Formats: sequence, C-alpha cells, structure tokens
Amino acid sequence: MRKKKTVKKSFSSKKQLSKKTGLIKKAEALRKKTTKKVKTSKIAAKTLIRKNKNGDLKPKKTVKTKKQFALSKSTKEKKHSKLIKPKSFSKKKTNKVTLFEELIIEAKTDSTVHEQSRIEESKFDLGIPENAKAMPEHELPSSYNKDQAVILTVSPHFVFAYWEVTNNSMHEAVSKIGYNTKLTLRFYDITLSSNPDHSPHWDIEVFDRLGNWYLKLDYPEQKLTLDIGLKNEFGNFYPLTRSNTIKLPRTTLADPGPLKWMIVTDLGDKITTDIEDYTDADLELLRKILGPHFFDLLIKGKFSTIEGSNLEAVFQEISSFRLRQDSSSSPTMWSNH
Amino acid sequence: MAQGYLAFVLHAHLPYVRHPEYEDFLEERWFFEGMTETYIPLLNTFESLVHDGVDFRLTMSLTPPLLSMMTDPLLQERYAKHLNKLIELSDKELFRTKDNHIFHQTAQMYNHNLKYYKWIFEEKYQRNIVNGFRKFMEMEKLEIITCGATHGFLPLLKPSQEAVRSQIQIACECHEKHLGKRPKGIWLPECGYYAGLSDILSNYGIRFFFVDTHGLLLADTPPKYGVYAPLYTASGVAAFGRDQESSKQVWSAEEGYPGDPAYRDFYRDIGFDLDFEYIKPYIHCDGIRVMTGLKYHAITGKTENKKPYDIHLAQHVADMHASNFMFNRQKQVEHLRGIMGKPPIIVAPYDAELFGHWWFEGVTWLNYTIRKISCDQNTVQLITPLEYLSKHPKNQVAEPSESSWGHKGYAEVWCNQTNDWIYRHLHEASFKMTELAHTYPHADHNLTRALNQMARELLLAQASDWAFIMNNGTMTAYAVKRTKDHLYKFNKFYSEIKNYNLDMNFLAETEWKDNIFPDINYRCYA
Repeated sequence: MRKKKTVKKSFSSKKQLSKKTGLIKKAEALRKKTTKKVKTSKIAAKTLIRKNKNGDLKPKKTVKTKKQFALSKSTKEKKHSKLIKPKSFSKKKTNKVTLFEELIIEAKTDSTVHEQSRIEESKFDLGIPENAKAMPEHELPSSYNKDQAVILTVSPHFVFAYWEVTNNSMHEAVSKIGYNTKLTLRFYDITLSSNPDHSPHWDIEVFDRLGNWYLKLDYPEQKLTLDIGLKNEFGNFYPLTRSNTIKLPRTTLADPGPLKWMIVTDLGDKITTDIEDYTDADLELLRKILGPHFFDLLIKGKFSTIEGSNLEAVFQEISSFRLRQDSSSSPTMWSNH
Repeated sequence: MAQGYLAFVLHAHLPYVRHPEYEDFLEERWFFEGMTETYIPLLNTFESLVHDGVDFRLTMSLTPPLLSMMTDPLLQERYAKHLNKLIELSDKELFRTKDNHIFHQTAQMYNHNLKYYKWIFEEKYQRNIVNGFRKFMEMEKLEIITCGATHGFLPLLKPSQEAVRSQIQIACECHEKHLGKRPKGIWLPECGYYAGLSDILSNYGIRFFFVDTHGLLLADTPPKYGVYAPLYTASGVAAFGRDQESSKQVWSAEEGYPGDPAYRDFYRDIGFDLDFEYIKPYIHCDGIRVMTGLKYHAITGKTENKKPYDIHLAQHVADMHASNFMFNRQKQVEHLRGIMGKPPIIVAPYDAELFGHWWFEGVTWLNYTIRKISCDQNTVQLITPLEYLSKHPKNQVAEPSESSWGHKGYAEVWCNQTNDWIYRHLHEASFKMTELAHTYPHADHNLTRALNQMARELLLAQASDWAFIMNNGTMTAYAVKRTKDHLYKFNKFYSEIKNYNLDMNFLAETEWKDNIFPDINYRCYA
C-alpha cells in the first residue's frame, strides 16, 4: 500500500496545488543556488509498461518509488512506455533533493544550453529575479464538477493527460459493478482502428478522481484516446468519460509516397497538377540537400530542432561537403570569418 | 539573375502588459525596452534603406498584443515619459563620462540615439509607430503578417477548436483594423503547428505560414526539396520551413554572431553599477534597481572583468559579420541551386527582439546585410513568401508534422511540471465560452459587454508567454498571477451570468483594465 501512495499525485485539492507551488519554489531556490542553467526535469518515479505479443501494453512493474528510481537511474533506461510522476509532488524533501541533484548531473553532462530560449527570455529580463508589485493572486477552482478527460501531445514520446470524475458518477458506477473497484485510466491504441472497442488497450490504476499524468511512449505516430472509469476485481471496466483523440508526431522521414503537385494562384484558386512516384533519385536529392549528417539523423529519427545540439561540427561538415561538391568549379576556400 | 532567394522573417511580439491601476509597473518596461531598442531602430533602418534607394524585402509579424500596445494612448503616454527620463539620464551620463573617452563616446551614442528616437516617436509618427510599419508595407518593402490573437500556443489549445479558431479570427480582425488590410501570412505562435490547422488558416484567407525545420522534413510525404521550397497543405496554404544554417549563425549566442567579444554585453547595466542616489530617479519608483538600457561594457569573454564597449569596433565587427552572412548565403544558394535545379528559398526567421535588445548591434547587422545583399552581389535575392509563391506557384502537396520552434521541437516548453496546471483551466474556460456563445446568440447590451469581456479574459490567459515564463523560472510570480487573474475574472463573469446577477461596477473596472480588442465579438466562440 505504501508503494501505491507514492504514485498518488495531482491537483485534487487546493492544498495540493499550493503544495506544488511551494515545492516548485523550493526547487527554484535550490536551482539558483547551484546553477542557473539547470532546467527542470520531467522524470521522477516511473511505472514501466511492457508491450505483450498481442500488442497490449501492460504494466511490467506497478510502481517504483523515487528512491528506487534514483538508485537505478545509473542503469540504462529500458525501452518501454513509461508513466511519469512529476517530481514536484515528492513527499519527502530528501527524495526531492536527490532527484534534483540528478538533474544537475544531467545538465552538466549536457553541455549545450538552449540558446534560442535564453535569447527569448531576455525579452522579460529586467535584471531582477522577481517582479516587485504585489498584484493580488486569486485562487482557481479546485474542480469543475464534471466528468472529463483530456489528452495532450507533449512530444512524439510524451503525452500529458488530465481528468476529473464526479462523486455522483463514481457512485453510479459502483452501483453497477460493485464496491471492490479501482479508478482506472484505459488508454486505447487506435492507430489501426478508429473504434477503441476493437483496439489494443492498457490500463493504469490511479487514485484521485481529479488528477493528471505524463505518459512516456515508444511509438511515435501512435493514435491514442483515453477512458477513465472503474474496474472491478473481475476485470470489468465501467467507463465514465472518454477523452479527445491525439496522434503523436512522427520522428523519421515519412514512407515514400506519391509526390503530388499543386498550383495555387494569386487569387487562391487551387489546381492539382501532376503526381509522380517517389524514387531513389528523390531520396538521394534530399540527402544531398540536407548533407549526410542531417540526413542520417532524419533517417534514424533523431532529428528534431536545431536547438539543444552541438552543431559546430555539423556545420563544418556541411562546409566541407559543399567544398567537395564545389571543388571542380570553385577552388576558393571559405570560412566562418 | 538571382540563383536563389533569402526570406528574412522577424517575429515581433510581447504579451499584453498594461496596468492603469498602478502608477509605475515594472513589467511595462518589457514594452518600453522593445520600443527603444528594437521597434523604433528597425523603423529607422527601413527609413534609411528607402532613403538610399536600397530595394529590400522583409517579412515581419506584428502580433495583435503588440499592435494593441503600440496604439494604446496610456502606454504611449507612459512610454513618452519613460523615454524622457532616459534622455535625462543620458544627458547626465555625458557629464559623468566626460573624462573617459571610450565611455564618453558610448554615452554620446546613447544620447544621440535616444533624442532621435524621441523625434521619430513624437514628431514623425505622432506616437503611433504602427503607421511607420504600415508605410513600408504599403511601399511593398515589408510584408506584415499576423500571429495568434494573444499568442496562444495552438497545439495545446486544440481540445477546443473554437478557441483555436478565435485566436486566428480575432488576430485577422485586429490586423485589418490597424494595418488596413487582411493578413496574407501568419507566424503561428511559437511556430506551433498541428495537422489540420491549415484548414482554419485557409478559412481566414491566410496564404502561408512557417514551421520549424523538422515540421517540414517530417511531413506525411518526404519533401522533395527539403526546407528550400514550401509545401502546400491540402487546403492550399503554403508552409515554409526554417533553414537551420542561417538560423544558427544568428541565433546562437556562443557559436553565432551575437556572442562576439566586441559586441555590447546585455547584462552589465548602469542600473546596477552606479551609485544608488545617482540612479534612483531612473529605476523603479520603489527603489528597485532594474536595467536602464545604458550599458558600457563589451561581452569580452567568459569573465566578469568586462572591457569597455567600443562602438566603432563593434560596428566594424557587425560589418564583417554581415559580409560573412552574405558570403555563406551565396555559397549555400549556389550549392542548392546546383543540386535542386531550381532556385531555393532560404527562410531565416528570428525573434525581432533579438535585434537591438539582446544583440545590440543586431539592427546595424541587419542594415548592413540587407545593403550588401541588395547592392554587392547577384546570387541571392531578398524575397517575401508571397512574392515567392507568385513566382513559383507550383509546389508539392504534403501535410507538415506537428512541431514548434521551442526547445526540443514540440510542446515541452509549454507543458511540463512548471506550467501544466494551466491547461485544465484554460480548456474549461474555452468550453464555457462556447457554451455561453451558443446560449446567448442575441444578448442585450450589458450581457454583450460581459460576454465580450469574458472573451478578452480568456484570450489574455491563453498567451503562451505565461507558460514560457513559468518554465524559465524567473519572474514567474507575475506570469502565474496574470493567468489566475484572467481566469478568475472569467469565472466570476460566468457565475454572474448563470445567476442572472451581473456586477456592473466590476465589469466596468475590468473593461478599463483589460481593454485589448475593443471591437471583439464573443459570438466567434459559437
């Protein structure tokens, strides 16, 4: 039972919300003390989820406490979907500090700083750490008294889900499937079928009627939806509400498909013209355009944005690549300055 | 004849910060600094280019909050006062630095610039600098595009399609009001795109938008020409992709131009360096030291021992960097033209505030770069996306991938443990707004006022800036309070409307405080 409690999270009450704010402030204070460059990590305790032969995702290990996670962090992360509990909900300060120290180590090993963000931040930089005016701070409703689940795409590998179910709905469900039930999130992988009832699914037990989760997934382009409901000891699931549907972005170059062309006139009229097959020559052209390094990243699914990667070497590679291409026509050397 | 094109895109945006209830409000300085260091210097540069007969093309977004602040009489009045104070300080600085030649020439530069900017603001454009941008738009030198109404990050507002649609519709209306015509292009807030968004853009007459590099490369069909030609979505809207190489050269603080040791240091400011009694009248009225914008030191290197800033050396370096940028674009275009067999378009988008505010010499660099590209070579031609589409109307059809230009390329910056709590409330408010818009399609005068104000509060709460600031970890209290403040007002109005009990005093006070989009119509949420 103690282990389950460590997974419990979220904004189920004003108290928890203010607790979260307090913890964030403490974390900020710690960060300022150590380094300005450390960014908040998203990872804390995890539930590992495994994909079985039928394609269903099932929990491999229900819960890992923060301490366990901190101890096992040095081992290579397993390639499974993961349910992530935000670190700011740590109950023990000591655990939180341990996690934060991990972040600092991570940040130090990642030598690059997100430069674009830093420049964008300068718009709001007046040279002081906090604003002076004591604007009144209002509290927001702790709940909206409705059954609701929403799922948002954070990245090709992360989704964020939040939900709320009312006590009345839970009582109604209990009256249908019995008292021995657990509040459950049922994720449907609807990539192949738009009907969730005919799709693989996996369940995650939760403890609050109002809460949120981050879910780590290993399959970009997956289409997902979510039910929140009650599940009894016999495995019967009584859904209370269904979320929106999302499709995770792809991370690799799309499969070659027909190249369609269109003319759009200045007045906005659309004229579909020719359709060509995508050939190896097209792929080779793209390789030449991007350069071998970026093309390689693209094929491997490691290409996202220019930020957060050390590109000095890459641009040198582009330069030398271009020089090789141009060497027959132009012997001129060129450099950065 | 040019072998390829270069499209500079400047994204000018600040969140709507206007506090009539306070005499002196710190965060209003974001706007004042933007005016002094970026927007007016850019206008001045455009003026000089036109004056010298330089044929240039530039694309620039002026977001609805920025347009609204630039045209707001209260903020204009406060900026005029702020500028006068700065000029007074720079006058004093002439005296203080008179015995140190190198500091003195910097003080002279500030003094001269500030007085000239005052003339541009007060005399030339009668305090409304939007008219300046509009002038260059009408000369067809500048393609001004819009953005989300309050810069809401659309992929995370998507659960309410009405919220996304209203961000676009209200932005287009605001753009037309201030610039006299509907926008043809949009800078999606944070470059945030998701599959299907272009259908909404198409409905409002938008012809083009931008995505980050991976948004285009990871489209649902491989793009034949990478990011060097646009893609059309099925609805016929063109998506242009960011070029990595030109972006990196300018964006990067360490590897790129702005980090050069000769350039002015952003952080070292006399607001913190000088004697308190001397600087007191020019910092916050509560005696809180803030940046004044007057800085006398160069970046120098990774040391606290900064060298004095040498304006002539910095301008020389800016000139060298402009030459280098042009040279690299020439090489890039020659290379791409050779392998593509058609003219490539290199899209180079930047935050406008990078120029002048963060990178003090950035405006000078832009000025030199435009002049060199226009006058010193024939390989690369400056172009706007619309002009490109007119010359090259045939393009590949594919749907760009969901993406943003934030750290890691998706929604990580705006949805993490520091800020994810806002989405439950933002979505709920959007759903309620739609509910009321359906319930009251023909509201009477007072109810219409309340519903319109609810729409304003919702839009102001949706600004991606608040989540961005929460993520940064500095000045977060203001961002949290602004989000809660707008949602609190929204919920109060909702409750009053449901109970048929409108507090008209509260409504009037809120209209006075949050006066963005005076012509808003809540029915857009229906």
